[in-house]
Amino acid sequence: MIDRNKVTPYLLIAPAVLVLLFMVGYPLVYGINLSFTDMSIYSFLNPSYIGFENYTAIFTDPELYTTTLRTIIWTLINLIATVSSGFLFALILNRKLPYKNALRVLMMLPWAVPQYIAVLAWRNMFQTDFGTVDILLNKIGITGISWLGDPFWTFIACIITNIWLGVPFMMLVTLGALQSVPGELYEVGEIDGVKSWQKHWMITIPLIKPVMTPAIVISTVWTFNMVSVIYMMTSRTADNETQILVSRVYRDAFTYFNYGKAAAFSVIIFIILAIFSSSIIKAMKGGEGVYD
Amino acid sequence: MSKKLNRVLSLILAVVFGVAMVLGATGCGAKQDAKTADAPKAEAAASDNKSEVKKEEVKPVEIVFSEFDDPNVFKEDWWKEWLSGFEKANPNIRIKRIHNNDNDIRTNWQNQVAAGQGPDVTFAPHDSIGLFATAGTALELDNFFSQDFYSQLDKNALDAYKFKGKIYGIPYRLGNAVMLIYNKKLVPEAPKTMDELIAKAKELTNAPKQYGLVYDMVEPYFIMGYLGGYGGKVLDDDGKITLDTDAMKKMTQLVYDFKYTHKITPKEANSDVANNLFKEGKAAFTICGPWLFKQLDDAKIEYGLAPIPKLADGDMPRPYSGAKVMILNPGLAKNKAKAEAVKKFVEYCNGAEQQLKMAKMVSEIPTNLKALEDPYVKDDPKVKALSEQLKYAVPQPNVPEMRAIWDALKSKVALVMAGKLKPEEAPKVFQSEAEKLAKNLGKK
Repeated sequence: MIDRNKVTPYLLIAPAVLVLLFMVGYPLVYGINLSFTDMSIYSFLNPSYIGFENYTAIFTDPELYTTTLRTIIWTLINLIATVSSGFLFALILNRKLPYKNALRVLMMLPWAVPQYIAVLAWRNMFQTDFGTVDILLNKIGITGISWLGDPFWTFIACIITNIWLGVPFMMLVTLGALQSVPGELYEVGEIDGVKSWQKHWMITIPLIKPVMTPAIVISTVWTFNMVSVIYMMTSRTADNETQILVSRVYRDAFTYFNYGKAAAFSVIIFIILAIFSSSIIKAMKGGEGVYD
Repeated sequence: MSKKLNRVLSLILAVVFGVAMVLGATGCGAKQDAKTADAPKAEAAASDNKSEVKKEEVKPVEIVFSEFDDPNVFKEDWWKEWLSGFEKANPNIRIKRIHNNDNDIRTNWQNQVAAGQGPDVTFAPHDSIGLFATAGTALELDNFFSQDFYSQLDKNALDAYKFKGKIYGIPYRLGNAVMLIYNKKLVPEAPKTMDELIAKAKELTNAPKQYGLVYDMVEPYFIMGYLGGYGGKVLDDDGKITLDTDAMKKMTQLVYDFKYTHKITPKEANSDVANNLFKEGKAAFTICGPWLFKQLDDAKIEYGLAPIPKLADGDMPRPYSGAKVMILNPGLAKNKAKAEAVKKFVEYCNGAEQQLKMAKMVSEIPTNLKALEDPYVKDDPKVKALSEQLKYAVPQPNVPEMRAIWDALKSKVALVMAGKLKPEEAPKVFQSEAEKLAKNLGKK
């Protein structure tokens, strides 16, 4: 006899599992499979298995390591900037402020603009002589920065744009988390003689952690895989000095049609991100509820 | 809930997100190719059967074509009218149109055809021919159409866009070569030599209010003519990349001098900046192609056209010319009914009347011999100017390695223009970069 109590839960999650298998499982398996083939334009319709050749080619390319390092720098700077300024703005907006709602809408605007348009607008603003950024810099005496010509500055321009795009999300999540912190706790803290900055450290942060951890993880993954900002800022051709891992994958796949190598690259990125996500969640004990 | 379950759940969530993100960036392509290995045959066979059934019942055959023309110029209604003529004459063929932008048209075609699907015909820039033919995603056409059909077309154009001696794309519109466009208010007559142009441009530069010369300084396409003018080529006869040459050095020096020595260009300009400056009357000369004409007409700028003038220590510049070509799905080889319908459609598109209609929209040149006799080609000043420039133009090579050459030049010429790389050292860097990038193609 089948124990009903044991079967029911599985039946309940079955639709979700099926969707996941189809949407995530199948492409994942297909992608991994592809990474062991030599599918490129020279063998596009009949690729053959070549074992780990794609992987050895990737790992023996010295550029991989500089690109990985750049990707980590890119992710860290973006993350630190978006989380800290998102947190700061959320703290400000969580207070009693005149025109709070209007401010909130303003702060969220970058998120409402389609990314594609936002990046193109930023690209125009970074134009030498005719762009807003350069005009402002020229006014305060800083001249001669070739934002879009010099790979170093292009990379900085990408970071600035991405931070601008990323802050609203962090702010929104933090604000939501802040609003769920019961006010009584602060009152209790005051009675217990907790100083103002200690309040944030001892009450706010532990209480918003369960919300912030997944938000930070998601945002890390997004930033790590942010292909559109770099792709569009560099007018579709990122120089090797502005490339991050995922933009390389994009280039290998869709400019050079080397699907085998691009798939291998994707698998590597996937492993990096999987290790990162699970370890950060473990480290922050983010999976645990506050009241467990 | 227990801690353990929570932790497990969040782990799963994190992994799922990770996977979704990576696949979001790269997997879409993979998904579409899922059926590469054996599906095409099965599907082709299936559709073969289907179409035979269709034939018996005289059900209309539907053929799909994709195009990449500027939707601001080729509007929905224009297409409808253009296609209605064909559908009226062929009541049992239905045409479905798909629009792509010029970037996606290659990727979509590659992925869809590899999966045994995709449009039956695609309009494409001719440099896709090499890519598609190498990948096996273009039907070889030498015997697909009758000699009668080919004899109606300009043989030179047909030959210019062959790949390894075979026809994979039917050129239906020529143009795309950049030429000299000058503001008649500032420059009454086109300069005869590059030195004249530079002198005149210097005279008329008053940055940032007015510039002598503006052009897209991001895409190397706009400067490649100088390379040819100095006698250089990006590939040798065996298809090897040859960027480290004296001609390349001269080309780089010339564009470097435009900015740093003569100071006749803006510090930076992409095509938007360049075109806007010219449209606002703030530039004397620009280097651009026929696609700009409509914008200039709309902006009511009085402009003149001429070939890019002769270089001081070289020849006439030889910009790349490009054709728009029609490429067919290799799946058609196994589907006779559809192939017949597609044949009719392509023949219709390449008839004198239809080619002319299309070419007129963008001031380009048809390839149908009868259309070439039309007063439009002979008398239209824009077309005449374009033909004049085309005399010096060379077809852009269409081998897959071109991708690597463009990418290498684009990023490294940018370094030269940013003052980070000396023009005399640049060719070596171009060469090694292009060779490195070409490895991404995965040729063994």
